[in-house]
Amino acid sequence: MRFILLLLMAMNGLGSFAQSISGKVYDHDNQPLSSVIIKLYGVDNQLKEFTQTDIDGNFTAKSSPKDVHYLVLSKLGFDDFRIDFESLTAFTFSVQLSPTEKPVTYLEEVVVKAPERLYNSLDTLTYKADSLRNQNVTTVEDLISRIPGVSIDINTGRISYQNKPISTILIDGDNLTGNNYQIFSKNISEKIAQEVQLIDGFEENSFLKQFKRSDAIALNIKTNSEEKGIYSGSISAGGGYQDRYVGSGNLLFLSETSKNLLTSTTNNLGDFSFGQQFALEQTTVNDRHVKSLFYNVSRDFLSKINPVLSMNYNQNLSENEEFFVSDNLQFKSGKSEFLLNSFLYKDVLSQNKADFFLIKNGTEQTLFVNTKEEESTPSNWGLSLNHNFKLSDKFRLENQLLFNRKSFDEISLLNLNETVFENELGENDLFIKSDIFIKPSSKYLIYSYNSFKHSELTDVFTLAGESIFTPETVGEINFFEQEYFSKNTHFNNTSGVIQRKGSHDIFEFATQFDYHNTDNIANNTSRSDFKNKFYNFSIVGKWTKVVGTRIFEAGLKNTFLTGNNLQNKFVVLPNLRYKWKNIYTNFDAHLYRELVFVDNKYWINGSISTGFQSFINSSLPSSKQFFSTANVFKTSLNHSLKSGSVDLGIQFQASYTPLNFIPVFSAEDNFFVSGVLPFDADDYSVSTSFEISKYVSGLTQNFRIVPSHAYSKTIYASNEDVFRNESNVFSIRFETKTAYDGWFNFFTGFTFKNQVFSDSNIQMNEVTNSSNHFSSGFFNLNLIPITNKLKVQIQNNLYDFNTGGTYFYLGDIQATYKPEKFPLEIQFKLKNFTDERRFSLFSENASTISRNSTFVRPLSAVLSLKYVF
Amino acid sequence: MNRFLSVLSLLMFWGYPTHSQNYPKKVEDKLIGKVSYVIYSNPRKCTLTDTTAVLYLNPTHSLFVYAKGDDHRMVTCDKGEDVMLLEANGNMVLKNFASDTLKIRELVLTTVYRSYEALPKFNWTLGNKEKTIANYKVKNATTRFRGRSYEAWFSEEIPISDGPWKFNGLPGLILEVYDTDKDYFFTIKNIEIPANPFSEEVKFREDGQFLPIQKFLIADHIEYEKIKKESQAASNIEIEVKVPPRNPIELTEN
Repeated sequence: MRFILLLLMAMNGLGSFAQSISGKVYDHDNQPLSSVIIKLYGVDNQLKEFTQTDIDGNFTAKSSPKDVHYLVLSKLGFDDFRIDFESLTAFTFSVQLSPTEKPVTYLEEVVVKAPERLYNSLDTLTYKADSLRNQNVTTVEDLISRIPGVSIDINTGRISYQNKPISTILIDGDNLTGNNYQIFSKNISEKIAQEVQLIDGFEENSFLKQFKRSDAIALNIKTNSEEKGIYSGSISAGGGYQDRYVGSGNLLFLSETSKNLLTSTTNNLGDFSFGQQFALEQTTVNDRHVKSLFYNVSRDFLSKINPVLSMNYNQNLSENEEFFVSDNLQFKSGKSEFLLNSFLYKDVLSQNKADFFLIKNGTEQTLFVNTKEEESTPSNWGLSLNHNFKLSDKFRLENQLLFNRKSFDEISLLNLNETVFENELGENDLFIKSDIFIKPSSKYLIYSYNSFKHSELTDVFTLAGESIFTPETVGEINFFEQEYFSKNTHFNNTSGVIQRKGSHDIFEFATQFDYHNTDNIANNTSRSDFKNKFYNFSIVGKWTKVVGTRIFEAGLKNTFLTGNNLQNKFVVLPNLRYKWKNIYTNFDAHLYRELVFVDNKYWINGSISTGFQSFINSSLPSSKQFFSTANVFKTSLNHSLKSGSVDLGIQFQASYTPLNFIPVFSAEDNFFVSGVLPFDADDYSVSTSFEISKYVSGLTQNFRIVPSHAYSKTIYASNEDVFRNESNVFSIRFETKTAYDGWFNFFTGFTFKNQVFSDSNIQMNEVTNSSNHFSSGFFNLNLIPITNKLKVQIQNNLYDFNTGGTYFYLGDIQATYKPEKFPLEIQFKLKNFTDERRFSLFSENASTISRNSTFVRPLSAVLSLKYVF
Repeated sequence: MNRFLSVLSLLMFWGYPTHSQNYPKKVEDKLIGKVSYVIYSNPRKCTLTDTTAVLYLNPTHSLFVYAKGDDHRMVTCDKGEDVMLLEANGNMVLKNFASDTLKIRELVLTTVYRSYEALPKFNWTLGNKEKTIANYKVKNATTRFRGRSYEAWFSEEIPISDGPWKFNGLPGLILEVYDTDKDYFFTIKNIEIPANPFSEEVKFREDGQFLPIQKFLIADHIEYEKIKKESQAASNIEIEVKVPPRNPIELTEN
């Protein structure tokens, strides 16, 4: 290390009065050094300001010296130089930097390969359709299913990407099918697709992006229809046992100026052309006859001023007088956009909806009106009106009014008012929100919600004469009140939060007041007779202090309840976080004490729980070509003591998470491991779960991509549906619970080469009492490819066993045979028509268990051919 | 195929001047680094198209060369086909940190234009987000510049206050920057510090037609008018030259 010379030249004797920090930087040859980055850090080690030297090596910082803890001078080719400010008495000085002795190539060359097969435009992932095709791909759905991370529910045809459902499928950016995209995906040939795009944050009306951030994901199928017209579609026909028949035809025609999709079907199987989701909801009647016609056209008219006029017209007709009509009229010119949208659905749900937008050239002026009428039965009607009015860049005003009448004997008025003033450019935020709920009826409800937020505080807190917060303190006051008032219940909740952030302190204080008054006696209108009444007052305070690289947190929560029951609880929450290099350690200790008075008796409950967490962030060597990595390793041990019970649990989680979903990482290094082992002594349940997945990018690998975040959450939530659709390499779940009754769950999933190999769901319920023992089971075997050409689906099978006998209920079975390289599909359906989809199999009468259901299961079988062109 | 594209396809093969002049500023002098970026851009509301760019660094200057290529690229988008214009020497942005000035040179349709302005001072707001890009720990910062809001990710491990295009002024090299509309997205591809030896000539070319910066920002309008006049003069009939949607990186002058 060469010498470092630090020359301090006091420009005035009273450095504490200096208002700025300035200086000059030289190199080892006493030549002024330009482009040196000077970073000024506060006491909290946070970067407060940065500047750089000019061509003569001079620099000047704006920060007040008393707010600066140290400086770091950085220059390529030189060692970083740190100056601790506490030791300084002057704020104008000269610094000489010495050349680094690190190797000159210390910035290793990093090559990040640009994505090749697919490219990423932040919100949109684009796949070349050719890269998805193989000999088994016939329909658009087949093509989509090849995208890593996509799963398709075999029952409904609904498509999910990384656990999030796809909201719609667009055809060259136009929505022809609404939410019923199965019409398109299942019946249209894959040949039309040039690219498949996954659009995250999809918002159907592009102008709405200015108002809200959508979470929806949409698929866009890009075609080459602008060069020539494209036809595609499918026809299918078949018949079978018990005079069942099925026939359908679908035709898609895309040209330069219009897009047309015509779908028609007729059958007496109860299958809708909208996809099976509708059918599952509606097919509760035997021998349902369905005739539907669905027509959708989108047409663009081009003229010199370049307006776009598009219209969608959807109509579905059936014998049961169910239909829906949807109109969409859109007009765009250079500076304004207009959209009128109406939607009418009869019988099941009727609603009219109109949207009106007027936008003048981006954000300058915006008017957005949304009206909606709802009618669920002939006697019910409602109206909702939304206004979004954007006055300028700085302010936004929103109003919403909803009026609803549910039935004759109950009139409800729902009045939602939301007023938002936003000053997007300024530093001061004023936020007022007010919701009012009024429901005048025999059971009336008043609900109000008020929120106030103001984020500029100018006063300074002092403690013992010393200022706690610097003038840069950011303060925030939140006030929240909600009141729920009905005939039998009056609930009021008021809370406030004050938060102040100093340069090295954060102080938070919150109060909450609850008033709850409930009458359990029916028809008692006297509010004084409420039987449950209590007041709850809580205070929460938390103080966070940053000392060097350590963070201390201390908090106190106290809750006091009074009323019918008298309780006093307090919780102490000390928390210590420490960061060393890339390792964060976190220590939590929770002390919980509860004192409960009920009927002049009291119980004392207490618990102590401690936790330890460490987070390790590391990056793999660059040769692995990872964009970025973050590893999380977390352990926690919880121990709590209650009166008469013991809870003991241990949780273990290890995950390996690529931060960016940009597929440049290599397949060998991607995996996810998770395990959970909760143990609950109260009801003696054991749950063991373990998961391993492998991440892959591109399409050449075998396994799907699943975000690890979703998995880590769902494991702790013990959501039983988690693994069924999310199996990647192999997932298995086994749970037992023994108490008065028992149940047994078993889920398996196996995915191979991006196709579901087996996705089964087996559930058993077992009930035992003193004289009888019975159990029921359910399994759903979704898809079994017997060969590449033949796939079988079995669903809704119920198995019943009790001491009186064993019953087996057979659900629908569907088998498809699809020859390779030929767009013909042979489908066999065995359908089960019954009036009852839900079984109440057993009723208990004294010691006798009897079956109270007689099953009528008219089975029918249909063989059909489907040709996709 | 739109008619304007046909006109364009005819016009794009017109030659453009390749004057030989003196180039006083040589960036290869004391070259300290060479940083490559990938730019995803959507200049005509067509589709995001990727090109590569290189930032050459010396102690007092940096030269950002982008859209360099021997032939134009056809880009397919929803509304038809568009042309990604590439120039043999590349479009260039020269930042002079000694004099706080910036020079820019860009091929606009058929003509190379260049301009000159004070080095933009970006009013960065440092964020508190961190991530890793290409093994470098980066922090985020946001700013607004000429009609667009940007988020940048810079690395303090590389103490160079520079970045792609006109971006500069952060306490570390900008490895990634994009506007919130995601029409322009610069991301790091390759870092060579110090630069490996190479034989190519790295100079800001002072050729092309000079325009004040206010006119340079709307040079495409000027160019379309020029093409229209020249086409009509040549054919003596009225030719409709349709201006495609504009979505330049700089939407406003300020």
